[in-house]
Amino acid sequence: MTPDELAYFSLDELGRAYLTGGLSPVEVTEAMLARIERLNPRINAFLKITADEARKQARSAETEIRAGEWRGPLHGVPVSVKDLFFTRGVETTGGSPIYRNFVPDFDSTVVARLKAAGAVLLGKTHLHELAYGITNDNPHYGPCLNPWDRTRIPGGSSGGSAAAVSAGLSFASFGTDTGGSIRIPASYCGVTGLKPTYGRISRYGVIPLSVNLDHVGPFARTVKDAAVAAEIVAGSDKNDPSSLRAACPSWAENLESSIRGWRIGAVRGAFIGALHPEIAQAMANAEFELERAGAALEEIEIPDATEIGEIAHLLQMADGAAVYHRRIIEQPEAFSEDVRILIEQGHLVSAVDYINAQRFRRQFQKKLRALFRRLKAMILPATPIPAPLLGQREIELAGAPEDVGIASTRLVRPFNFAGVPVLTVPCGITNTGLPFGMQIVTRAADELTGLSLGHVYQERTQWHTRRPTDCY
Amino acid sequence: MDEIDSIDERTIATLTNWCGLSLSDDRVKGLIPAGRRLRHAAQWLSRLDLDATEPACTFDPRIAE
Repeated sequence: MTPDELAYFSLDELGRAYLTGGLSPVEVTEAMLARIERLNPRINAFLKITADEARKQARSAETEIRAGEWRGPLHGVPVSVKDLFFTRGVETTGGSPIYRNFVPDFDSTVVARLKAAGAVLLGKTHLHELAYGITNDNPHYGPCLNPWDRTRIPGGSSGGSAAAVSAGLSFASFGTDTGGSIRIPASYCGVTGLKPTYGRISRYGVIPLSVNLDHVGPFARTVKDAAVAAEIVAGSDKNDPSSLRAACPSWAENLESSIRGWRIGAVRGAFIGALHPEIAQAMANAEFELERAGAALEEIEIPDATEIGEIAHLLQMADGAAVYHRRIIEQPEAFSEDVRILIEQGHLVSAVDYINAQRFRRQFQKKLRALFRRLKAMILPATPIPAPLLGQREIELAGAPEDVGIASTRLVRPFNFAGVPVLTVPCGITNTGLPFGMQIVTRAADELTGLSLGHVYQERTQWHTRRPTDCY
Repeated sequence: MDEIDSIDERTIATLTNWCGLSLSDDRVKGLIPAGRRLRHAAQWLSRLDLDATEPACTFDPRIAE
């Protein structure tokens, strides 16, 4: 086994190797740090590498596992978190100069739970400035590049986490998703990403963008690994008032192996809009594969299709403006132009519109609930395009120009508005070698159904096993 | 000023009242497309049949419960 093969082990394989003594956490951590040293300069997936701390955590895990004190499937496993999560004693920048040199004196709940599970924290991953954008073309820390094609963006804002998992620099990574920031980079980097139900994973100690729309979730290479990573950090948190009180079931252990008879809605119509032709074909192939697995596919339309995104964006802009109101007045020069304009836009939202957007949100949630009375899940593309070029502002779809930011977010943002769980799994690769993903949407608090559907899909397809060739 | 004229009065009032931006400021020009999109969203919201009983909740943290 080469270090490159080791870097793409599943959590199951790694755990078994630790328990049988075939591999040790120190050995694996050293291999991952060596890969990061070799590959990170090419893609800039990590803003900070915490090598000394990682080695210390690996040694501790190794001692415990050898003593028969295995803590579970993340024990001794090298992982990473977006540089938006507070890490005690480690600088947390949010990808912005306004947090440069900010060293939290406590861990975010996610980091605390990862440490309690015995995970090895390799470092903090790259993000779009303040998690407010989809390119990860960060003027303060340099751009993060897509491991599949370094002339392209990884997607954002959690692009560093997706790139790290895709490039075999981390077995799992945690990001945030306010308007697609997990699902867009999962699609563009060809990895699995989960935006769980709103409130399912604590946001305590995570630099906020929108109190209404921020979600925390994992990236991994398989659905099963994503389920393992998510359930370790999920669950109620007294420090987060938005935390769900409902018990969090064990997802990985309860993944279903059959979807026979499941009624699945394939989203059509105005909500989908124009698609890259290879993505349209890949979605048709995915639908066919799910039908072969025994599911009953039904074409559906999502109500209020063309307006939801704008209304959700209205909320996000106002929330973001509230978070950075003082900073934007006192230090406008500390923000890059794209982020500053978004924050300034947020000041244009009236209180009446904001409140009516919230009221509409409840209506939209009710309409989705009605759809889920007859459907187990809905499927649709994660992005209508594969990864755009770095610096590209417009793409052409169906003969018409479309803004890259709007194209990247229009299929994902509505589900932040609804708060329902959405899994993204790789579902194809273009002729030019760029991956893209499919979203699986389920009713609130039912991550298990989406994870099971994604797991069955991955058992029948190979897209999630494809690797960027530049990373060997 | 043609571009400024094309955005609604409320947006102009927000721009000028908030942080003292002047209409001749380049930053205002950059916000015009946003003002238009927000106006579109607001107009759409105003046409919605929001039931009078629909709670005007600004923050509903536990949608799944």
